Amino acid sequence: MLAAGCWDYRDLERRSPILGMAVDSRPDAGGRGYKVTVEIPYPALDSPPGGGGGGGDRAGGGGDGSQSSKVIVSGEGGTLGAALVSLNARLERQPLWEHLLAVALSDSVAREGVSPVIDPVLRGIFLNARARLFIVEGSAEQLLTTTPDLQPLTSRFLRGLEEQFAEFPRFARVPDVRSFDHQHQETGVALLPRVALVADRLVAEGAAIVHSGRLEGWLDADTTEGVNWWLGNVKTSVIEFPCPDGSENTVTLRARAAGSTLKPEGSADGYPVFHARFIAYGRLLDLARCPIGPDRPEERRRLEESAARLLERRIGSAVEQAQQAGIDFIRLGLHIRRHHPDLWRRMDWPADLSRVRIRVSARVVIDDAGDWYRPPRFH
Amino acid sequence: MSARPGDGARERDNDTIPTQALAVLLVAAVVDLNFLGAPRAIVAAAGHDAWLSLPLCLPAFLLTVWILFLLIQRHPRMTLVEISRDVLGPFLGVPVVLLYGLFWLLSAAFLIQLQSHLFTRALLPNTPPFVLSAYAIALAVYLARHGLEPMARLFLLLVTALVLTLVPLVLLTVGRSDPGRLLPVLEGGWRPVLHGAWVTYGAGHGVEFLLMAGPFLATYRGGLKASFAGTVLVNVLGTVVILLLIMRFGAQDVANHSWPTLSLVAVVELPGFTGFRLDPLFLSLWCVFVFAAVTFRLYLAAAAAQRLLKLTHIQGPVVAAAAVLAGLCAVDVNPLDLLHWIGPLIQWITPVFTLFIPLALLAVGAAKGLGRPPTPSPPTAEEGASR
Repeated sequence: MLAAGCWDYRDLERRSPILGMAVDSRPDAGGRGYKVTVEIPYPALDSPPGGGGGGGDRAGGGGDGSQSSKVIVSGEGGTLGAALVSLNARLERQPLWEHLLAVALSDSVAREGVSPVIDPVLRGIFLNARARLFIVEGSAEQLLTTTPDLQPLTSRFLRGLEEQFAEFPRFARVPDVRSFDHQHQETGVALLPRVALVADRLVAEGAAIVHSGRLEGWLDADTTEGVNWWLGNVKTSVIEFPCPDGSENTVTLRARAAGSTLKPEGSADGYPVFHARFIAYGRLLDLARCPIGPDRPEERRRLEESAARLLERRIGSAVEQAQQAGIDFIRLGLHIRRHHPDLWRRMDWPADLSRVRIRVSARVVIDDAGDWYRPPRFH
Repeated sequence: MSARPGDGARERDNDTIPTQALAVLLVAAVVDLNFLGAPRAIVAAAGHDAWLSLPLCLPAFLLTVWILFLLIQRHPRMTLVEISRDVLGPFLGVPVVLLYGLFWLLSAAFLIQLQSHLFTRALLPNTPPFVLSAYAIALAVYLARHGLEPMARLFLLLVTALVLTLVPLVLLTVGRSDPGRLLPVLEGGWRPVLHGAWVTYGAGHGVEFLLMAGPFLATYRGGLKASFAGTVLVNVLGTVVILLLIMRFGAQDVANHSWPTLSLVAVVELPGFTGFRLDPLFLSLWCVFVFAAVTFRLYLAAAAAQRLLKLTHIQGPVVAAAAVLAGLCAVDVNPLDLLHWIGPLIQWITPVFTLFIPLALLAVGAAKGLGRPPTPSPPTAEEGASR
């Protein structure tokens, strides 16, 4: 390998590490082809990494307002591969794709089909297939040029969402490109996190339904959370449920998923009935407006019942939406195929998705009331 | 093998190996690129039940090893060269030896071509592949001319490295895997699983090195057990790799990857090190494995030529074999075509060299009353050298 260094040696300062990639439809081309925008961290003021020429732009701002935090460069091409290569003409340094963190697709690209975008990422040896995949409601380029709070690089913000998911599962679990590919191959459908710019701020909420390689629609945050509970993706989630005293006040609880089962229980009209059971443990976070004492078992049960009903509604809504749309993003078909192969052979999937009956029941056990039992009273 | 006085550290002991070394040699001979490429073919044949194909194939592998060992035990201190001459006569025996020599050189060339391809596509895109091939051949010549014992010592390190690499790979992959992808078990029945076992057996070439190992063994006692241990180790590690691949990617995806194990390593993530990539490390380690397999095959071909021509030293045959190997590697072959041709072909070639020919030698030898039933204490190396 020493001899090989003669050909492949390249200093780090001759490379441009690309951390984020946004893919939009090419403007003025009748929707054919792609416009790729990449995010490159700005290494130092005196040695700009490129960006000269038409596509270059320095975005963001450092502490004193004079230093850009990143360079945004765009290229275009009839295919994504061609668009990526076109970046070389606009970068003085060689693009380094191995550290790509996030790939954001605009909704218009996703509606046309994600396969032409996924293919070069999976096929390309130098593109990082571990990059996380997102769907942007609106322009993906605009997302990349925005500078998030506390984090100058959008790609790092997007990559950090994976950690946020553990506490806030109200967007689809963030998959890498390869995971998305095999999830989609298994069931023909996969969910991707939805990202949008709301008042110039990046917000990740809800999910994009990618069915047969195309964006079919969106799920709101509540339904997405329900899907995450159903799929077993939730570790903890904060839920706000009605206080059982009959008022309109609510209680906030951090629920920890403890397990779930999905079993067939007989049949109705010739189609199987499934019963999904979920168990969660909870810690009370906010009981200020609810005069129920969690120290008394019978009152705690009332709180638990109310939390369980909310969880059931949320998960049930996810199931209902899947059945109404006829798109199996809850991966029920896969479950039947794996665990009930005899039943699977008798079914016509996904046509039978809407005919299958699914009952959802949840049990919530409050095992931690926090440091207070009763809400503070100031008379 | 004769002594080489004045050759410094390269004494005759370099050509005597303990029986335990057979396990290491077997792993090094069989693993080559198999862990990178074979899972694709096995999963394509057996689907998500492919992990069952490997254990299912194990008895066939063990039977093969037993037959090979029985053959060299019945003909103590003999290699394939002497055995086939004795059993088949010179007119049929010599072509058989030449066939094996050609097989070893062709498989070494195949490995070098693919390794150079893998390196240029993944790590060194601007380096001409022939530089990498020439480099590998030069190193292989350097090691092969030092004899079998130093090779076995190096391979021991490699086998340890293989196991030590797979342990973190398992730990880092399991968390992001879906064991449900293995379900339902036997979805397509036993037929695809058996097909997968057949493909697995086809990937097991290299085990025929036992035919050349006889004279290098200090004793035959424990040799069969060591060979079995090597076989089981390869099988278990292979099963683990296939299980990981299916659980991480799903059978459909594995069958669609050109080098699924490399893809698996490419998606491994160390928590907290988002930019850290393990695949260059893994590929480099695998390069050393391919180097081991190439060196071993080069040595086998050279040793066969040396014994065929009754030469005193192996250096000449090693250089000659390396020249042939370099010629084969200089042929401009499209790696995709190479894989396309060899994939289906090797399933038929492997049984011929590992099972059918040895079985024929054993049967004809027994029918002619040649060889002798295995005894616990074989003749000494001096007796063997005097033959």
